[in-house]
Order: sequence, then C-alpha cells, then structure tokens
Amino acid sequence: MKNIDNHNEENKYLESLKSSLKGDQVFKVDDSYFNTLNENIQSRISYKSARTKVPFKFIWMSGAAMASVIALVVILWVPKTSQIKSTALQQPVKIDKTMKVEKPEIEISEVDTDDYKLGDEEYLLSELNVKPKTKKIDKKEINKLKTNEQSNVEVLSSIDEIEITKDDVLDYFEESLVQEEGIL
Amino acid sequence: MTKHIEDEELLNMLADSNSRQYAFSLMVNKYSKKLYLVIRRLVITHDDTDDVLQNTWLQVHRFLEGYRQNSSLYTWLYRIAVNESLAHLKKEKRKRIFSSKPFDEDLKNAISSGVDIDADVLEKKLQIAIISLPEKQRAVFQMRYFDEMPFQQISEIMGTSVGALKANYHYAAKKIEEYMLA
Repeated sequence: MKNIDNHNEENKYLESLKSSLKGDQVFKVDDSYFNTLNENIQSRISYKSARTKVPFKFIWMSGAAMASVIALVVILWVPKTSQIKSTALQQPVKIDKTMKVEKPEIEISEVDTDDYKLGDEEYLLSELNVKPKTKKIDKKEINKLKTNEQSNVEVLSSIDEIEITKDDVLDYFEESLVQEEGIL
Repeated sequence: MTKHIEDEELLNMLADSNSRQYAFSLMVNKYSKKLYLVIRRLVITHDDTDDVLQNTWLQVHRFLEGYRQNSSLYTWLYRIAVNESLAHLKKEKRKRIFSSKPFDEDLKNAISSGVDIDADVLEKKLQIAIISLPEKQRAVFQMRYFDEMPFQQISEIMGTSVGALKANYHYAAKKIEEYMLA
C-alpha cells in the first residue's frame, strides 16, 4: 500500500497549482451582504421562537373549541333531531319508490321449446299459461317509506301499481331458457 | 459593528442570558465571512450559500446550549456549516432524482457561466473537477487543499478517523489531478 502521508509529493501538480490560484477570491460577494445578514438571522430567530410558542397556545385553544362544538352538537342534535332546521334537510329527499317495490312473481307452465323461436311473442303468450297481470302496490308501504325517512320525503312517481307486461314475460322466459337449458 | 472579540470572552457572554443575544450577534459578525466561503465552495451559488448560511446560524442558535467546548468554537461552527451544506446538496439531488439534468450539471454550469465568480479557465476547470467528487470527499478536499486544515481538525469536523481522511484526500487529489491533466 502506498504511504498516504506522502500525498503532497504525489500530487505535485496540484500543489504547484495552488500558488497560481486566487483561492476564495474566486467567489465574489458584496460586503453589503454581510451588513444585512445579521439582521436577517435575528429576525428569523425571533420568528422561529415566536412560532415554537404557538403550539401550546394552539393546542389549548383548539381543544377548547373542539369541546365546545361537541357539546353543542350533543345538546342540539341528539335529543330532538327533527327540530334541526337546516336548509339541506328542508330540501325534499327524492326517493324512487319503484326501486323498492318488487314485481309479482311470474308463474309459467311447461312450454314446448322445440317450436319456439327467439322473440316469438305470440307463440310464447299462447303457450304460456300466464297472462299479463298487475299487482297493487300497498299504500301502507309508501307511507312506511315516507315515515321511515325524513318527514319531507317527496315521492316522485304517482304509480301505485305495477303491471307485468308481455315484455316482462318474454324476458323472464328467455332468461329461464338460458339458465336452465343453455339455449341461445 | 466590527469589534474584535476573543472566543473565550464570546463564550462567557453567550453563557450569560443577559448578554446572550448581543454575543450571538457579535459571533455572527465575526464568523459569517469565513463560514460563507466554507459553504460557498460546497454549494457554489450565492443564493444557495445565503440559505445554507442562515440555516447554519439558526442551528448554532438552537444548539448553543449543548456546545460543550470539546473543540474550538470555529471548529464547531465549521462542522455545522459543512453538515448543513451536505444536507442541502443531498436535498437538491433528491429533488432532481427524476430530472433528466443531474444537479451536479447545474453546479458546473453555474461555474462555467461565471455569475458571481471571478475565475480564469484554470480555476473554473479546478472547481468543476472538485464538483465531480462525491460530496463528502469534496468537503475533505476543500478543507485540506484550500484551508490547509490539519487532518486532526478535519476529523473533528467530519467525525471520521484521521487514517480514513488521509486516504480520502489522497484519492480525491488523485482524481482531480487526472482531470486537470487530461
């Protein structure tokens, strides 16, 4: 291993270069910079000291504010929810009742599918031992919906009965064929 | 405020809470120029040097009570300045990790463009060669080559053994010489 203490001899070129270098004078800086530096540092120190004092104050203040808010919510909201008159709650809550009422089940007899052609409505209706029928929607159900939600529920649709159409029967039958017999 | 004051007197004033603020101001005036150059040689541009120098003094202010006088005041200040400079370089490098232009290229360009730099071709070439070194090696080289600091003092600043520093300097000098003579 080389003797690393002899670096000055090894790096003769660098050592000889030193005499022709300006050293730190290479980096120019105006003396006026140092006149304002102390001032800048002092103001940053003052700012930092002030800032480190804030958290203690802040924690107490924010803690107190949060406790007040929680207390207010508990007092006003929990016992009498319906009395809160917020603008948002006064807006009608729109519920599409048709989403909540199921259609009546379709009962079909056995059908000879050999002669059935996809979408052949006439054949289907003649073969199926079922006719389009309607189911009355229980008015109580709608009222229950209304009372279970907010008092200002607005039921959008005026439909009070659901009809089973020919399309429903056809869809149902074709779905059954796909699921049970793998037809289509 | 250009009053010359010895470190011992300065430290006594710093220990006294009544005179601490004034003493700190005196210390800033006494050592800022020296620390500026230590930092500037590492981070190159004036704006970055200004940031790092101010951060250095903030750190000094923060840890002043923890200064145990195991090393001279200047060595302690120097160490904080070098650490802040290295942290700055690391941060800037990390910022550019996905950039197509490496951070070192910016430093080289800053030297080549010559803004706030009064250097001839040779000096610029030397500075660019120094920038090509890894950061810590760069710091060691600067301390030894420009400041002619004893290895023992560099060891106190860098927290590295004297043997490792000698080897570090040797390899740094060799790389720079090769670059200069190429």
